[in-house]
Formats: sequence, structure tokens, C-alpha cells
Amino acid sequence: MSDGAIFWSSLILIIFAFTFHRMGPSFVRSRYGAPLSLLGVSCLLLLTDGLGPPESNLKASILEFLIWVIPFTFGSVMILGSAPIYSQRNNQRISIGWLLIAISWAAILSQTEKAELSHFTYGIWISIGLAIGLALFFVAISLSERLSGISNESEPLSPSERDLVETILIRRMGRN
Amino acid sequence: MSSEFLEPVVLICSGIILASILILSHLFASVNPYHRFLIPMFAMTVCGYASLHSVSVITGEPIVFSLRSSMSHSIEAMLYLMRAIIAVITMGLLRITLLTNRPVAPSS
Repeated sequence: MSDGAIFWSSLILIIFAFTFHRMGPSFVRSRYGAPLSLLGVSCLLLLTDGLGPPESNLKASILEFLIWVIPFTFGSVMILGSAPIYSQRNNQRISIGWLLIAISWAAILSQTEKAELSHFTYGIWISIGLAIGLALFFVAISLSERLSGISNESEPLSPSERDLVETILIRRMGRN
Repeated sequence: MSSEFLEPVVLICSGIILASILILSHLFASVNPYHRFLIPMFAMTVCGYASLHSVSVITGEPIVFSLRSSMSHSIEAMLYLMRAIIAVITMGLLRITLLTNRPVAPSS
């Protein structure tokens, strides 16, 4: 398998992992989200050393992105958890959070020397394309829903499903 | 046609291709018995392929290279655009840091 194929497969695997994870606990596949994501990121970073253009530029951009997005995410979570919105202020954690955000901004500014205004302009044009794609998707969903009509009344729960719902409710209400 | 006009068209088509790939991957990964996915899948395949064909015709590159190139440029540009989004989030974080000690209680 060529490095380019591994690179694109890893990206698709990460999208699959995200979708699996977002499907929620009622689908068995949701538990595979995190391991698949780890596998995708590992393959993307470790098995794609001999990439040529255009993938090599994209990989460099992803690495630059990860360098600042990881401290920014941790910093944001620390600030959100310690700011006086839902609980008491914790100045120590807020300071550490801002230190991480300062580090991520330092990384962003050091990379910005290479960045040009044209990159942002490209981003805006591509966002318009993404919005058009999403709009078409919503139109297709709406058409699909309209054509399928009203389905019959759903069947009552089977005894095993009833037991499951009962167990979940007792567990949840028991906590409160 | 002038290249000033064609460049935004290529970029918009690249955005549509990226949206199509993301949505098609999502549709494949989330297939389940309650999912009416045929029409959305058909629509996204058609619009993705039409955009890809347009990019290939405009740039004069083979279709596979056009796909790789437009996907790469789209993702790269979106990662650059993230810096602007991060700036907005930083402003929000600054605002909540400067709040006084006033926990939000649920209203009865």
C-alpha cells in the first residue's frame, strides 16, 4: 500500500471513528470510535513518511495545527472548568489554562510568518463550497423524508427491551 | 474565461467535494435499519462527482489528482481558517475569566 493510500485511508478512518462515536450507546459500534480514532491518527502520523505533494503539504499543515490546537484545547477546558460560571473561581487552574493558551498563540504567531492573507481568502471560498454541499445534503434529507411518507405505528416493546428500559430508568433515577 | 474568475470556482468546487466526502463517509459509517440514506447518498455522490469533474476540466489535471489536490487544499485552508475561530474563542474565554464570582444557579 502506498503512503498516499495510507494517508487518505487514515483520514477516512478518523471520520468513521467520529461518526461511530457520535452514534451513541444504543449502537454497539459506538464503542469502536475511540480505538479507531487512535488507529487513524497513529497511521496518519507514523506510517506516512514518504509522502509527495499534495499530501506532504497537508500533513505538514496537520502537524502545525496539532502543535497549537492541543495546548489550546487543554487550556480552554481548564479555564472553562475553573471560571466563575458554574462553580467557584480557581485562580491557579485559570492561570495554568491561560499559560497553555499563551503557548498555543505563540505557536500560531510563529507559524503565521509563513501564512499569507490568501490562505484565509481560500478558506472563505472553500467555506462557501462546504455550505453549498451541506445545503444540498439538507435538501436531499428533506426530499427523502417527504417521499418516504408516514410509517405505520411502531410495534410495542418486546419483554427484553422493556427490561432494558426499566433497568436504565431505575439506574438513572436511583442516582438522583 | 479569466483565471481570476476560475480560481474561486475551483475553490468552491473543492469545498463541495470536501463536504461530499465527509457526508458520504458519515452516511456509510452510520447506516442502520432506521436510516433513509439512499437519496442523500445519491445526491452527494452526484454533486461531488460534478464538482470533481469541473475541477478536473478547469485545471486540466487527471481526475484522481484533482481529487487529491482539491481535498488537500480544502483541508489545509480550513485549518488556516481555524486560527480566526480560535481568536473568537479566546475572546470568549477572556470574557468569562473576567467575570466576578457569580455562579449561575438554576432558575426555579
